[in-house]
Amino acid sequence: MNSAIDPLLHRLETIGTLTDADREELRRLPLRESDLAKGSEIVADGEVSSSCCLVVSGYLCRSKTLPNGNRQIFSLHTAGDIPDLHSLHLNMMDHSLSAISDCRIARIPHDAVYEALDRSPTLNALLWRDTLIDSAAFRAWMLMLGQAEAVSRMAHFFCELFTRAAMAGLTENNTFALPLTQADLGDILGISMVHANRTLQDLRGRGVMDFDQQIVSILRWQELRKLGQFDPSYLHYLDGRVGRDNPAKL
Amino acid sequence: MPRFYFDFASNDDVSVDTIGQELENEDMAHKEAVKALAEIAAEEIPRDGELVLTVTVTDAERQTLFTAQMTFRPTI
Repeated sequence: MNSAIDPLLHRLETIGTLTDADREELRRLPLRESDLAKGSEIVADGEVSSSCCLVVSGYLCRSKTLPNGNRQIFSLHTAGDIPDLHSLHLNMMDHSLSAISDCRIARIPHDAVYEALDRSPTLNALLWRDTLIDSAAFRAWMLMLGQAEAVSRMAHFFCELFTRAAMAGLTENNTFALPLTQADLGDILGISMVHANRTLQDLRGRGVMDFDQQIVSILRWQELRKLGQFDPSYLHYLDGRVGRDNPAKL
Repeated sequence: MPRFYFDFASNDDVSVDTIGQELENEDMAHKEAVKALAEIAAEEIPRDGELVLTVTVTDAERQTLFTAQMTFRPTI
């Protein structure tokens, strides 16, 4: 029993079916755990990697930075995510993976993952599905970044993070932990820190959510969803698999 | 880091910043305020109609450091 792998199992079971043998394969993966301070880079843009990184706690982000220092964050990843699973096949990183909060990660050597996938075609297919869902999330986010107003973008962001936290079994009633700063929020939403702060105050003022002491509370899910034009179908979770905190049922 | 407050007004509708944010220095606060003003204008102007957007930056003691205004006036 390895608890670091549990959120991954939990999450994979919301998007597909794991056989007992698959579960065993995942539990047998060698995990090299380490603690990282906020801001540490795990794999740099251009670096060649020989292991994947499973998030155990805290948040990682994938980002790219322009020569002038402006950074765009593409995605956030918490416990149960393997944000560089694609490095199994594209081992030269085309973006950077770093810790956006203090976090604990587990590195899994590519060789061990290849072997597990060779033994289990069903696990192979499920991880492929997981990677495709990852790219579906990019498409959903690209639409928001390019076409939606800031308040809608921010509402969508909180809706997605809440849903994904629920998929990994990390929500507590209608709350989840999100250790981000205003500057991070700006870099995620593609807006200035000041506009991000103003937009957050707008969402709070509407009474749909709160974000205090690094905890997000969903207060009026349906209204938040409507504001964010959030349709969770791009996350491809299976009916009835998101558990007692299924956001669709809040 | 010092704390700055960013109050915005859209025509007569004033939204007072009750939280503020910490930034390295006044120069950074100035830059952030102008960037935010431009972003808000980009969202508000397509709604059409005359629009006067104002940002006022104050320090932690609520002393005004900087103010900027942008006016959009549709003409026939």
